[in-house]
Amino acid sequence: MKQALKRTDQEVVELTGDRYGVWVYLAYVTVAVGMTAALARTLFRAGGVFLTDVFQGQQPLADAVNRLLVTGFYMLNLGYGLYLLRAEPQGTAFEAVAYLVGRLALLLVTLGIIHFVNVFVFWKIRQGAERKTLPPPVAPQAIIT
Amino acid sequence: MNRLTVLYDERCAVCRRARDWLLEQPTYLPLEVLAAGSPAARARYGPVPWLGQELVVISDDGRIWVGPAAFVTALWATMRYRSWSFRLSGPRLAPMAESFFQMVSRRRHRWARFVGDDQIECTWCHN
Repeated sequence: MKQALKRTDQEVVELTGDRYGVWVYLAYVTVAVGMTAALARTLFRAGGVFLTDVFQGQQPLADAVNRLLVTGFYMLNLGYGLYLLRAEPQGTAFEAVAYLVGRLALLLVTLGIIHFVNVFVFWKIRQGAERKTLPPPVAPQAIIT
Repeated sequence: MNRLTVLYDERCAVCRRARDWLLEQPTYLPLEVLAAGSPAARARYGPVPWLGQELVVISDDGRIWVGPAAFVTALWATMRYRSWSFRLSGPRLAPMAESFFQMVSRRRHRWARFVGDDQIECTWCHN
């Protein structure tokens, strides 16, 4: 019995047949890439409006910064997403699905955190730009002409 | 508004130290400091009643801030502390900031020994 517990993955595959592991991989990669693309498109569209405002209508600059940010987002998310998945051979369909869902949940939570950090950075950039044009906070005590 | 002139009390060491600090700060708009008792200040802003008694900030379009308001407006001109100028003039901190500034300002001649600078820089001063 103790021998059985110490079996390597390779032996497990040989004994049970890895009928689901490859499907876990395929499904995961499909969903992860799709999700990253959808999020990136949202970020690109909404962020574009934001950056145009921050750079006061300098459209080429705003577009360039936006593209750079989205490229970084893609690299980070795809890299992390693919790194995250280290599926072991799955014995039953239930195990396979449970594993897949667990991994996707972890990926989604991470993407959510990255997304909020991104929005926070946008907000900071905008706040800095806004401050530049604000009038003095208190009214003058007198006015001479 | 394109320029601010800060009129400080040149007879007080704390004020001179504050002036040096202000001149080192990066600002959003050009800032000029002027000793309140100097002939230049008298010539340009002679009719302004608070000169030399309170900190005064005057914009090139003629707006005058006095005392705590001048302090906040000088902070507003700096890039690093503009956000603080809004915080310190907000409803929660304004009363505290105002009384703190007035407390320091009223006793400003007594703080000199803490600053460790007793030199009189001006030729027009008569203590």
